[in-house]
Amino acid sequence: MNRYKLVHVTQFSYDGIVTESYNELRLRPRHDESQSCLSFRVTTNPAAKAVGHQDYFGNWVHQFHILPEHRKLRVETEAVVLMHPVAEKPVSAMTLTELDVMRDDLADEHFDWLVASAYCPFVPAILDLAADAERACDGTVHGFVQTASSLIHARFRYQQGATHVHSSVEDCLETQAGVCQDFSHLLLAIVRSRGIPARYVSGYLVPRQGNDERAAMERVIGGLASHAWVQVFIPETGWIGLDPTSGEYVDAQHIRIAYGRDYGDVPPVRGVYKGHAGQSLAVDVHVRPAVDDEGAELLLETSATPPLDPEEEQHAQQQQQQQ
Amino acid sequence: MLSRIADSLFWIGRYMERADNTARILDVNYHMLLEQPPDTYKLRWDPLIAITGERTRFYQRFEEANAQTAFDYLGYSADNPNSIAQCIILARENARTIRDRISRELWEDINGLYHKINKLRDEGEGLSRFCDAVKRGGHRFHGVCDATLARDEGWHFLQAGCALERAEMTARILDVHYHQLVEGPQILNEARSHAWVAVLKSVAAYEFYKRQHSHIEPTQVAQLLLLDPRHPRSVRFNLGVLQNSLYAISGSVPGSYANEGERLTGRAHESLTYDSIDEIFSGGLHDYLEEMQATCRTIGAHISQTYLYYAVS
Amino acid sequence: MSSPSQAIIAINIPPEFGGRPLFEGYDPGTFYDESIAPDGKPRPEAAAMHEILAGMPLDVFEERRQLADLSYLVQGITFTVYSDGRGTERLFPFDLVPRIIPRHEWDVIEKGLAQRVMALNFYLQDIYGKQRILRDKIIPRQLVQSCKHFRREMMGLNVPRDIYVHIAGIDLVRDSRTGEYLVLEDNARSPSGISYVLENRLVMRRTFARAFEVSEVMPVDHYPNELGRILRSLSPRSGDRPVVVLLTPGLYNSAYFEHCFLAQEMGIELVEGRDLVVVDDVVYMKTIHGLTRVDVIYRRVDDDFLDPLAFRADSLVGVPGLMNAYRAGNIALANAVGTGVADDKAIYAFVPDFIRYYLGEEPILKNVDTYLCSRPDHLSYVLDHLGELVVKAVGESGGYGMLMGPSSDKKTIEDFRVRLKADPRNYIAQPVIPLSRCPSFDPATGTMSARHIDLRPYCLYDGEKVTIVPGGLTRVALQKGSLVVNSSQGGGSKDTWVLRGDGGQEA
Repeated sequence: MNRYKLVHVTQFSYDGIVTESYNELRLRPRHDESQSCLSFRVTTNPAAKAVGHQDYFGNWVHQFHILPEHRKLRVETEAVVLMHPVAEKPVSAMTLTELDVMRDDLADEHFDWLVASAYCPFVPAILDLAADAERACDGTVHGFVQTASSLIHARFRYQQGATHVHSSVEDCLETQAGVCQDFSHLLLAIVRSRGIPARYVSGYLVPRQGNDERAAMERVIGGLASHAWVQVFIPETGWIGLDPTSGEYVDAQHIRIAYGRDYGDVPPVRGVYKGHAGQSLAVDVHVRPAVDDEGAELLLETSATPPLDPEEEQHAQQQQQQQ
Repeated sequence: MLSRIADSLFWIGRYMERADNTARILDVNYHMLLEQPPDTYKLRWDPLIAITGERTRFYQRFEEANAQTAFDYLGYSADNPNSIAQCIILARENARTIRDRISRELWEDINGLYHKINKLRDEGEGLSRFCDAVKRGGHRFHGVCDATLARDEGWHFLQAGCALERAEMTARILDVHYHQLVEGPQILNEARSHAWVAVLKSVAAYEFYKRQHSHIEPTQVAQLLLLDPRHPRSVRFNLGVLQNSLYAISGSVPGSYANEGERLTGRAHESLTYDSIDEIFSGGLHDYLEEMQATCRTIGAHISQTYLYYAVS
Repeated sequence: MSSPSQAIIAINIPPEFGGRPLFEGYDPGTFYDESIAPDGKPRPEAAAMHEILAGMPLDVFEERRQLADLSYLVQGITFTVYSDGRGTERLFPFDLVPRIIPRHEWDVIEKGLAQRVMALNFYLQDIYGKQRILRDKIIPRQLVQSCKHFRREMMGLNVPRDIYVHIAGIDLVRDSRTGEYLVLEDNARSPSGISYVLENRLVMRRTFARAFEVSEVMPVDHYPNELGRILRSLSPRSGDRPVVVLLTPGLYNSAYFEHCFLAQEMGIELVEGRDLVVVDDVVYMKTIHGLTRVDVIYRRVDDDFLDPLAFRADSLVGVPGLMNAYRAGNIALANAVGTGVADDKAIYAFVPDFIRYYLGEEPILKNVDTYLCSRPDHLSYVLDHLGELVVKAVGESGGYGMLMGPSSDKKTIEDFRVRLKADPRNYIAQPVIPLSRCPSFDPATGTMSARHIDLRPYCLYDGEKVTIVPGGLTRVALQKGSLVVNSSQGGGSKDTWVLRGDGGQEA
């Protein structure tokens, strides 16, 4: 019922031949008290062995390399995740004023989650939004973050292509539009600038069945079930999830993959290769309830597929040159 | 030895040789045409551009090939990756990165040549002085290498680069001139023999030829440039040098081969050793030369793939 | 490296230089002078050399000076200055008057540096490990985590033999007011300049052979051997002779000459990033006969550029996958990744505390008083006294991003005020230290003049003990009155002599 199978396919096509390709994946769902990653598998074509380790933020990173010449790279990850029922957390009534007293202790404990980052600079427009949220909220920390999240939902338009993957909040502030990544960065910048620890969460959103407004919107986003939201640390409560794209709390539909200061810490695929070729990218993500005994095993493996056909080199008419 | 260092040595050899050959053909052509009526200019400068494989780029920049445009383009142009100045710059860059691996004398020599041609350009010197400086530089380069470099693997990569480049250049020179003189538009006999002299001079083989033949005969010229085992600019001679260096690098013995580059070098050298010039002409010289040049390029690619930029798996 | 043939060298000596004595009109002034005592007599350690120089006619000195310069030029010992976007090759000016340190002073310096290098290593091991020092609140966690060079990727990664800083260059100055040596800054990433120490000595031995006969100068040329030994000892593979390489960013790096020099001296391969490839977490170099496994990399490439997969993706001089090999324990890197969290100029202020915390000792060498602009009380003091202080950007080196209060105009000071307020964490400030001076030849006047100097000794740590070649690089501010000794800012260098004894009449 709350067991999901996730298939995430990333395909790179290069304009020419590339070699010595090294890649890192951050696609394995986290395994903790509120969700269990029952199985995870990486398959690449050309075939490579993916080796996993945990990064500074506790995220799983799988790295692999493909040394011979190739023109295409396909990476498929499959995961089965069991979502645990979300227990209602007692919400702390701590006020922002009370929080201010704790500022130094929080900075010591949560330094990484409090400072401005490359994608989340504390520009004046962010400070204005924070001030708006503070005026509009009930003065509690919890109220503030909730208000900030709704504010983003209300004032910014969901629009694919309004920004790009390396956009910082400044682009989004200018266009007043963006996607989940931008809205998460906005919320991070706003709450951090107010001294509240917050982190970026990359993950999947399980599309909801139904016909209400939210389900409709999620289908838009769900076409690309990769999603991003924010977790905020509220003293006496702990971490709570907020989804500024919907303006609501996160629930058992939100499958978490990785935490970071911003997108830069958790790109799903990051890599370098040799070759003078440009690349194009296609991503396809499917999330569905797991069936039968999917996820019964907890393992990591790689399957091999035959290498691509090497193409003939172009005949050189001109004098040869050093490479 | 690191592949990068071998690569630098190989290309120092190739670029220095390319600069030298280009200067030779420019110079000889220039002097030959000083005695020709001006309307033959277009006809006679065009083949030079063809030799360097730069026709397309050249005619994008210039309307016609004459002494000035050819000198501009083949001498100094930064747009032409094979211009003499570019070759010397690239040879120097390669030498600079591996300064700790070559003799100080060699570095100073290449560096000196670089500064010399810059100075000539700044002083507005003409084609003749310029080509002379480059040719002398080429001779000094070989002398300094011979006198100061250890005969290790690096030496053999340098030798292989020089020999491969020289073999291909000689084949190109012969091919283009033959094509123009025999198969191209008819020109006067006198002019034609003049042109063959120029070909011989551009590979420093005129005196050697004259010692053996009383008059200029295209077949004999081709015989010398292709098949003569004694002349240091003939294709056969250079493939022999290349073969020896490749053997020294891989450790294989004559009669065998350790990689595709060696196999093709050996096969081409055998063919040049046992083919007669009459056979070659009856099969078509142009086709033969085309194939020889293609073989040289393939050998270059195989040396690169085997030793310098091989795929890691 | 051979000496240039004298026969082909034309020496140009201005006729007016004639045979004037070099020290005519020399004024030690009010600063501590390394050669001349306050009573006007040479200090015991400098006496022998002073006698030689004082008795040398100017034309003879000038001839030797030009010969020395020429030998640097011919060998191509140059560094590259980046000012207009294009690098220009320049000679690092060399001053022939040595800086002489008596043995009893050196013994103190040596102990003090060893203590400091040990403490820096313990600190790094702790920061990237259990972080005891943060839990014990000796240093604020925020300060450490906000360091530009704090590498989160290094957390929990086991480095070979637990050594982080194998090579440190620690900058010392002598405070004229007390005569005491102070630590000005630590360089724990990839300090450069050792090639000058070795070359300067070579040139001095040729130029002033007699001075060496009478002065008993301790040798420095065992440095490459010692460094080579330490590098080999780091090999994660037992058995075979380890393969050690020096990784350079390449030809256009300002220290390329030094990279060539050290690789040659240690008999190791000088490699660029593209020569290396990582296969299944093992590093190899590409040779003409296939891949050769590499065990240890002495890297002169900054962390940011070391591995485009882990750090800056636009780096063209790095080795993709290197951090994976490092994490897997298949390669040793010297220095380790992440040592910049030790030589950050704000962290510097806490190094005396590290010494107390990790070693239970009192620091032998003191720090210069330092204001951390991240602390509001310090910041307001600094803003009120900008005209008197030296302000430095915490993550920079080489004299870049620095304000010399007393010698700066109003506009520069106001620019810095804005920058400080905008990003206080990025700056520290220190009082201006009246650096000691040393006689230096001024080619413009043809006489000796007192010029300010500092000292960068090079420390090598093998996991058990710290080895320091006696002396180090003495940098001299060749501009009259200047206190900035960096080569990029018009500084030069001197040979540094540590004497076997204290000089003078004994021995």
